[in-house]
Amino acid sequence: MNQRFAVLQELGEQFERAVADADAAGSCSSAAAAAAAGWSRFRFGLLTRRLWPLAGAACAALVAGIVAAVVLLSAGTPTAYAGWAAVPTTPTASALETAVHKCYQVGARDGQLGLLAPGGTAQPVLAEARGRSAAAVYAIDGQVYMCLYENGSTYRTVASASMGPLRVTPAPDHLSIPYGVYGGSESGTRTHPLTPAQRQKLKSEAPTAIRQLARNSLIDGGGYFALGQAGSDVSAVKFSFANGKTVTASVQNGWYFAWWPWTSDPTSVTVTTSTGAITSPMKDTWPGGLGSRPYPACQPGSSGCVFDTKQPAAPATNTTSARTTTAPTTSTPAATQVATATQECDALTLTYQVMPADAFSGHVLLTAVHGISTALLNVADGTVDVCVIGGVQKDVHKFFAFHIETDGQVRLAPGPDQISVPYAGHNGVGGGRPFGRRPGKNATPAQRHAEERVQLERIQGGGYGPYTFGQAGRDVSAVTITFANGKKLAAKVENGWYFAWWPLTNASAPTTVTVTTSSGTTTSPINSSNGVNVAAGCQPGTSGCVFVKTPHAPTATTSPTTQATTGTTNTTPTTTTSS
Amino acid sequence: MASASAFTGFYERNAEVVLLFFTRRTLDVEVALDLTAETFAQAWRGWPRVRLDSVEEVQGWVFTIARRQLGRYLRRGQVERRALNQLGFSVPELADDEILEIEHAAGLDAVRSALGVELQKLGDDQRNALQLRIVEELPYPEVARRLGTSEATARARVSRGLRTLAVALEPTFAREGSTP
Repeated sequence: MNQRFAVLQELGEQFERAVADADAAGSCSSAAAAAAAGWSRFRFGLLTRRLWPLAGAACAALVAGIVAAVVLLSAGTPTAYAGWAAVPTTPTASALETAVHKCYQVGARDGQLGLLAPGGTAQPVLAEARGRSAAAVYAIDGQVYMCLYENGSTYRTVASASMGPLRVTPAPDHLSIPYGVYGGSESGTRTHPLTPAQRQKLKSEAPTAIRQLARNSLIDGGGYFALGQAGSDVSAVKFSFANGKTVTASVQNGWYFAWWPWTSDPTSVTVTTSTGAITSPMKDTWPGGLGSRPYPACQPGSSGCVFDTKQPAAPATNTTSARTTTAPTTSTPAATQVATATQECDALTLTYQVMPADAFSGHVLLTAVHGISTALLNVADGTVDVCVIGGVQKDVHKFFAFHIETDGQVRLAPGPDQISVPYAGHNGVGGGRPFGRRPGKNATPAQRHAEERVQLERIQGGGYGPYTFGQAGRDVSAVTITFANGKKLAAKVENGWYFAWWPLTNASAPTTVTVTTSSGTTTSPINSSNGVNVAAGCQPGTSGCVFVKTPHAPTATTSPTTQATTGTTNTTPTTTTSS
Repeated sequence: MASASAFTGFYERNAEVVLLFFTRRTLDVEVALDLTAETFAQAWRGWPRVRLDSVEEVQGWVFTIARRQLGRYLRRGQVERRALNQLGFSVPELADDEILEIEHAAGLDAVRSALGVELQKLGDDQRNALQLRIVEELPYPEVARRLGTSEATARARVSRGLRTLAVALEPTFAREGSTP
């Protein structure tokens, strides 16, 4: 570390120590990533959050080794997972009372849990038993609480967690994605010391860094859980894991809950409704995996908070280009497509932290489809956030996503028959990343060419194609951009906003914008000062923020006499056609 | 996924430019250091999922975080410390001579001079609002009371004033080569 300023040197040394910790913990597991990222995967048991950097060393293979160790060492010792069962049962009154009492004690100690004292009128919306363990879920004053008392044979753990605000009820045949996993308090007591054989096994097989994790597994403490809301027609929920195990969730009163005493996420969820059972892959529908991090992306009311229980459409057999060309159509995306886009955008928000976590999870002002991409535009905290999920060519690049956070605040609304010049995006561009597979060694020349084009766009466009968006007056019904090569692009107009984007290499420079209102259409030139990605001189409330519209003439006229003024964004339309 | 060790080089390459970026925009080295620390703390938290496809892309990413931090600071008047607190990091103390050194490196004299000019160009409403809110650090209800407006109007004037100044000063920043 070599910094000119001592304060930066000193600050950097703290990062160096954090890096050293992360390196020591290894980087091959998601736990390491979570630890490095400061995320708290809620794991109840001996493994406290302080120990996550150590747990980070538990790579997949090592975890498998630990599981094996559990099996190997279980003979003659309390049975692993003895306090747990894959299928829940109804808890006895005393077991539930014990669990809630302990949860209340643990939560109250941290002062962060809003659970009412036991013995009151609050009733759980869900209660279950798995072996000797008991759990309860409460929804009190719009907040959700989870209580789990794991009564293992060698270890007892209390997990008492505030899960965040109550969300809207999912559709009858839907399942909400699990609530986040922040706000938990935990406490544990070992009931039996490790046997000499266990100690020796740990010492010989488990590296120091993972010994703590291994110890927890040995004494059947710890695990993950999933908690969420279920639609009224959902009768059963089952999670499947890569290790071949399945865990049946409790489904009661519109809620589902399950926990399991191992540290991996499920790979799929099967939801049973009156029309049958649908299995959805977890990783595709749930960025980040189950419980791997808090899920602020899923806010109350978000359409992205549900698993889609509809069968996904069969992949298109046509492998020709599905690229977004210069004349895409815009339409309102299907709800599922919006939900997917919302999840992807929110996942990127978490990754790149360029927007508020709830930028797209609530109400979205504008949604637009261009080819296989979906754009979301919203106003949050006084700024305009845009996210585009999609790609250029689905057989090569399934997804490409980016965020745009305008550096400016929301401007004054333009006049009824005006649109604002585009907002700037270049001052607030977030990161982007490609999704999906890339052409392999056996890719066809066409696929390679397409990939090169995508890469070119990434380089030239900073990771995305050009875009334009701004506000539209209430009388504006359509906005069309015309390019130098004569092609046209219809922008989506919705809720007082317009938006369009196009692959960089697919279009020449935009030359005019045509605005349609109830009184006709107006075409204005786009130049370097009011075209895409430019907002210089366009301040809230200034007249320079709109394309100026001249009085309607009864017939089309051409008057390319007035050029846009430098430093402002006013333009004079060159063609006006009355309807 | 970026390796943890790569973060050290990333910090080494970008810490100073981020610090100067904040210094020029806040005119306050201590605030700038706080913002820098929080920015890199957030970057560290997001590091495991960063793709190191290009240096420019990663630098753009950290400046996106920086701008968001700056925006929050300007809106709320305080530096967020969420990531710093989660990581248990502390912000080092600045010595007086180092403050001067950083101010000099940031070219604050030129920025302040330009700011003075641009302030005079603002309307009375926005300038008075900025004076009360930014200089005197009064709460918005008090700013509104003194201006004889609603709190929303006071907020709007401060916000627009800051925005106008930011845009006006952007060429100054750009000349100094600080804006990525």
